[in-house]
Amino acid sequence: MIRQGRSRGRWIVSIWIPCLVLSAAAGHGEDFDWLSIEDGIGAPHALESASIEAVAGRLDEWVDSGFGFVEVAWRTHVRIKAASEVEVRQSVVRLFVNDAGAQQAGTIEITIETDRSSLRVERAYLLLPDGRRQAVDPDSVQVTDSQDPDLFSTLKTVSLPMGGVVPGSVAFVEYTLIRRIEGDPLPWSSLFNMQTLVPILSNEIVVENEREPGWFDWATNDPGLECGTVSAGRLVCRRSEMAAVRLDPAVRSYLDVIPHFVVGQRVTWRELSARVAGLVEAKLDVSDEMEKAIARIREEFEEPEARARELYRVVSNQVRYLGFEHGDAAVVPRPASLTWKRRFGDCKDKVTLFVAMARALDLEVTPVLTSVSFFEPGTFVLPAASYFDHMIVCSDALPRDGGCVDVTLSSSPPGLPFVLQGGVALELTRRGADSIRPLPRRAALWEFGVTRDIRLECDGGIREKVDYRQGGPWGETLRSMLVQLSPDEREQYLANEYAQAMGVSEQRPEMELGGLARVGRPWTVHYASTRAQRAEMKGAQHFYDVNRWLLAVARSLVSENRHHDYAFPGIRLEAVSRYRLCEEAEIEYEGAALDLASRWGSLTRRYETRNDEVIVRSMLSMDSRVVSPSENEDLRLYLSRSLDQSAIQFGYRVD
Amino acid sequence: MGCSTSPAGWAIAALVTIGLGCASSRIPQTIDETPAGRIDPLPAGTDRVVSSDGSFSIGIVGRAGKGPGSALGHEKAEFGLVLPDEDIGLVAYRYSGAQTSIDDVVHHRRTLVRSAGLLHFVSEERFFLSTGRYRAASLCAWEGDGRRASRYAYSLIADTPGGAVEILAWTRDARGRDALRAAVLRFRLEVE
Repeated sequence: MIRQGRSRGRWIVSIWIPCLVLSAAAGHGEDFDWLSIEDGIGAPHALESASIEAVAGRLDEWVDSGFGFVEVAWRTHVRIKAASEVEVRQSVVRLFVNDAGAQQAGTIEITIETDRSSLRVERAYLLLPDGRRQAVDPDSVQVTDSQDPDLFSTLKTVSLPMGGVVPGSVAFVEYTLIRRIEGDPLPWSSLFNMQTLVPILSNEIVVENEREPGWFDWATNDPGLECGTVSAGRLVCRRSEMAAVRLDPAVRSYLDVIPHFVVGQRVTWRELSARVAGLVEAKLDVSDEMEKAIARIREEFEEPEARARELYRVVSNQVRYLGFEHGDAAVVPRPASLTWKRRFGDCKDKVTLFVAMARALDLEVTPVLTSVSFFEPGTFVLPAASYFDHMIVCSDALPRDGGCVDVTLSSSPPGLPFVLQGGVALELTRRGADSIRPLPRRAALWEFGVTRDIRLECDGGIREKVDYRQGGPWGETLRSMLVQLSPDEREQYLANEYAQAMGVSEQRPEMELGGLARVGRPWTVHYASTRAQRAEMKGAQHFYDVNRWLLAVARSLVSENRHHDYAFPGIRLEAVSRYRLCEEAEIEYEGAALDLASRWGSLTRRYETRNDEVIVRSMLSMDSRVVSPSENEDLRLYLSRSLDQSAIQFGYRVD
Repeated sequence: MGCSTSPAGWAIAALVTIGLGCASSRIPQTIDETPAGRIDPLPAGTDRVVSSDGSFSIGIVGRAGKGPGSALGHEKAEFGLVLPDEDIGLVAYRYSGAQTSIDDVVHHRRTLVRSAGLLHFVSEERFFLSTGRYRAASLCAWEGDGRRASRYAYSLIADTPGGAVEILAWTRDARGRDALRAAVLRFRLEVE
């Protein structure tokens, strides 16, 4: 519900709620009363000479660095005005190192919520290597709506295209965002990221408070940002060169990784919790139409847990996710009765509806603020609404489902989705919650069962049928993805999965997908194929086989991360391989039982021989956890050396 | 249990014959606990070695590890011992090819045993050694079949950076079988 905007290369988080727009309307700068572009945007910026000096002689250094552009300077001046406004003036000085950089960052983007805010562009020009200044043409400025199709909002993106960018040229942009905070439903706050995809040579943040002393508070998790109060009500923070953020294949959110500065109206977690709770409490009405649904649930389900699960099913499936989040509606839920009548709403609307109906059913439930942008509790360095962008609901009546559910999901069993496992929660209660807390995380987020039926024919032919089933939060994520694909896309997905697991497939197997509609139960895939490989069916033989599904799934769990932690999902993988031999064959011996245990989990295996069958049961059991780069090598080594021992082997004789 | 002659001809996979002295009856727990207190490397191809204090001797028929049909041509016996007064034997091999996997050695050993026709394979289990980082080991159990019952052998094959190492141990005493297994398992291979 609280949204972040990005001006290219720079993140600004403010309080809007995710909303979508079905048609992306566009307009020019002069068409909007909240946007002004000053006449003198081509006049020299105050930072011009200092910036030129800073980059002088360093262009060659960056040409070989791999970066297409470099941020020479970021300046942020936050002015908390007595007149219930907050002005944020920002300057960006950007050096283009090569043509690729011009392509990547030649347009400056500014995100703004237009109901409470206005934007004034004061400087926007390019300083060419020969010293000429080329201002952005106001007619070329474009305004676009949010591209999120399920959210209708007043969130806009203003694009300022630099013209004539060549390597060595420098863009200077300065703009001011003015936000009215009088009557704002939530305490004002803003986040400023201290790092981006390219180096930042210097960064300065100034906060000026014209309201009563102590009105605002600030914090940072950037140890390199030096802050000091230079006069009453004036905070100045400076940072010298900041390297580009290092990228890794698996990072849950770079916002957890990038250090930031947060400033906002001084509140405690308790006050913030109580304030948002008040927004929900005010909308907990129950209409006659709602009463009918409540009465049905009360009549059909006796136990609190059954009632809570049925209510989850109704709210998540019969009320679709769609947000009308214009202005304050980004944070203020609609009345429960209206959401029920419309049968659509966003997270806070659906949570409010759930809470209203749950209380009518005498269920104890608590709305909870959470985030799909920030996941590490340590990142929340100040009580501020800007960290949060989502709402869920928790209840003791849902013990089997982990106690918390996300009612924005449809066609999903109760519980938290993959992305929110182990996230951050702020409970919303009338008295307020003391602090944030971690959301529960299931021991294993992926449940994968694979059954292989392999027949060794008397002529040496090998036929194989594979059935796999997936469950757990990750399996549910995949189900949601598959449901939204077309039949052809699903078939292609299954073919790709097969090819990925088996290597280059020589032939397309028969494939069948099932169970997508059976919510709460694993969905299944069936493959049938004939192998090109043949078995020797004469004399004493040793059969050697690899369960490629086990290998593919296990290897997909680990990342190549070298710089940042990642969330290892954990798994319960149960594999059964049943080898049925030609009746002329006699099974002589079984392969190795496995007990490969470590701090990461275990891979176990047992063989069982029945007449002409060898049945091999394997279990890979690993718990979810956060893995640091220093631990990652050990995890990879464990998996690699376990899988090295996982070949299936047995002996047979055909006389 | 008294002294007995070496099970010539039995020799797991026809690789090893044992000559006996008389000494301690205790099953060694680690290499350091061997009766001589030290292990002398045994050059491949040596026919017979007698320890300096006479506590054990080992004879190897032919070139160590060159079993019939072996795909592993580089194996070498590094040490061996026999505990006098008991029909217990132990020998270790290092398969010098760094790429030789446990699968290779197990298969090789199984093939040799099958060709000798004196023992049958009972079971195999794989686990990580207590030393090193996820260095796998395989413990195979064998038993004499029918007429030649009361022969029990264990083969511990461990993955090491320099290639696979095998410790092969056997006994004729059924009562000592579990102790032998435990002893083999307790060998601490300093593999990393």
